[in-house]
Amino acid sequence: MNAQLQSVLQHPAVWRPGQQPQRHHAVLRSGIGVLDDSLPGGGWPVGAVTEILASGTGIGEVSLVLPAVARLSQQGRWVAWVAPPHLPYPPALQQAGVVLEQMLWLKPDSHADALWAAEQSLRSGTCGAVLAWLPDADHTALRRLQLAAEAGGSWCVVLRDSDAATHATPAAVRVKVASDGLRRQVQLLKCRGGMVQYGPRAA
Amino acid sequence: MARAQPEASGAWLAVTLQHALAEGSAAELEGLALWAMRYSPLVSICQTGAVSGVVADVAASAHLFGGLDALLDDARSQLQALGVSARCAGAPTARGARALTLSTQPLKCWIGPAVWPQHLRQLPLTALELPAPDLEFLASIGVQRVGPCLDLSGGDLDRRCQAPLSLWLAQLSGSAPDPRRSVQVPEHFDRSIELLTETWHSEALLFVCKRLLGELEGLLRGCGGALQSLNISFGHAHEHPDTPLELRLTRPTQSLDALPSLLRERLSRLEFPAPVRRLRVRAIPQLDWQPQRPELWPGAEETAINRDQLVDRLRARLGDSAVRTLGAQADHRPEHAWQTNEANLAAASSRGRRAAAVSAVRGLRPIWLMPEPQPLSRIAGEWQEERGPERIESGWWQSPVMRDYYVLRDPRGRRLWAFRTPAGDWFAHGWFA
Repeated sequence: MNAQLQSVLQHPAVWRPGQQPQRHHAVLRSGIGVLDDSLPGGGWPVGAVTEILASGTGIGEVSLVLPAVARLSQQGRWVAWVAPPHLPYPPALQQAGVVLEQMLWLKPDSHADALWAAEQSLRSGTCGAVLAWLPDADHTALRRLQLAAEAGGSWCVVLRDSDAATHATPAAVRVKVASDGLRRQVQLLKCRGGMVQYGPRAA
Repeated sequence: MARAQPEASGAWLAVTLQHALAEGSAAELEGLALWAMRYSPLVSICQTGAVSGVVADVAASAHLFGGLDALLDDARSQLQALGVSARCAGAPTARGARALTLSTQPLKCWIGPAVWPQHLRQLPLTALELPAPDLEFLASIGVQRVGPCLDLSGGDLDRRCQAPLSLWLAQLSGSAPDPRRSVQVPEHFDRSIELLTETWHSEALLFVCKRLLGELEGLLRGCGGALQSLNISFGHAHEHPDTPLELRLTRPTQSLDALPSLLRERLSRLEFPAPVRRLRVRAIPQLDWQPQRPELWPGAEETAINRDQLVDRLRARLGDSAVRTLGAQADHRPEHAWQTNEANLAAASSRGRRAAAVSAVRGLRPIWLMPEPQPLSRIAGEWQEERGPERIESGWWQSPVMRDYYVLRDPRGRRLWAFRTPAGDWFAHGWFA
């Protein structure tokens, strides 16, 4: 193989069938086996936005990220909960292994304040993760969060309704969470540097 | 008279206001003196006629600012940023530094003791703040500069001048002591500024605030104290009451660099009933403050400071009650098993209760708790029992409660935490999100 072709093939954007995707960024293990296997690098991407689209409240959309949040809190990192729809119930978080002192609960009054708070928390670099409930976030807002997450080296999780799946997203990972009535179904709709799944998997 | 020897080893910073102070505006000069305390606690006020300023003895503290030249640059850039038109100069003697700010030639750097004897000879006599008849007399005998004046024997000149010329010249060169009364550090900071015009603009107000904060920071450094809360009141025309603004910081701090950005957030949300006419800043420094010792390994301390800054910024915009940390309470009643803490107190307060709180809860708990239990009929869905019941009762001495908690599931896969009362009514209390 000539040298020029070799250099082209080394480019991070080029993927050859049969080759494992190269790991370019730091990841945070999700603690859920099926998900870790599917996500590029073996976990949630740090310094990027992960978008979680849930088809309703109460199908396990938060417990999808809770193992990673628990691990971050045990390492002494802060996790900011920006505008959650209800109280994140401390006893339940403790049962999941979360260190409560590391949780920061932000209750902004408006969507604009929620975006601002999420961006500030990401940019400060002191939060290991920022979980933001932003039902009205548009492309520009997500792009801003993506840049802030890159700047602060923090993991940003945006939780939205599954109606948003029809819109394009600048997020690095987009996961759809649904349920078949008994088990939680997870489908990777987009993941930067990895393979998209064309069907939901139980997780 | 003895020739000036290079024995002047001090270092004095002089700051002289370029505009004449109005009658009765001593507060502005006091403010300048407070500002100068950032460099040294030994600050004294010099006022001759309309020319006013301060001198500060920085011999002992200059190394903390990276040397005399760096200190002078810092003072100039700070004054410029605060919008104070003043000239700064540094020399080995107080009278010399003061004279340098009054002489006409532009000054770039600190005049050290080695070059001072040569340099002072070139100073014009007008910079010495001599009374006008003395200046006229000296001009009439052809003496315009300090050098020839030093060469003439002192006794004769002294008799003909009103001012003690030989003493002043000796103090200028550093061969005679120049005792000065230092400004007392006030116990609390209370300064107000009348604005030139009434304004609504938060940026204009912020600029004035910055100036007062500069003075406040000087005071804090001068007395070695720190600040945790700050009161600003915005005065309007007389029929309107003042608008107060209280700024509270997560931990006491001496450096006020982060305050302007917090103030900007608060000012942009403040609604004034009328344009602002005057501004008053009050603060009481905490003197029992211990500066944090730098850690051998950087990291932990920096993170703590960044966290405090983040919390302060979030609070400034969202309000104190919107920024909380979570905590658990050792209580078996679900709605009492949690608490929220002030973000800064979190680490200290909840550690003790943690072990007890973990053991208190045995059953499965939902991630979302509703603020109030809701009748199940209001939540659409065909709910089926998945797990339960778990009975939770409270004692007769509390509000009596007897509930059987179940985990419910609907065909869409949503899971709900709900309870049944003894009367058979169903209420939803949380989601297993």
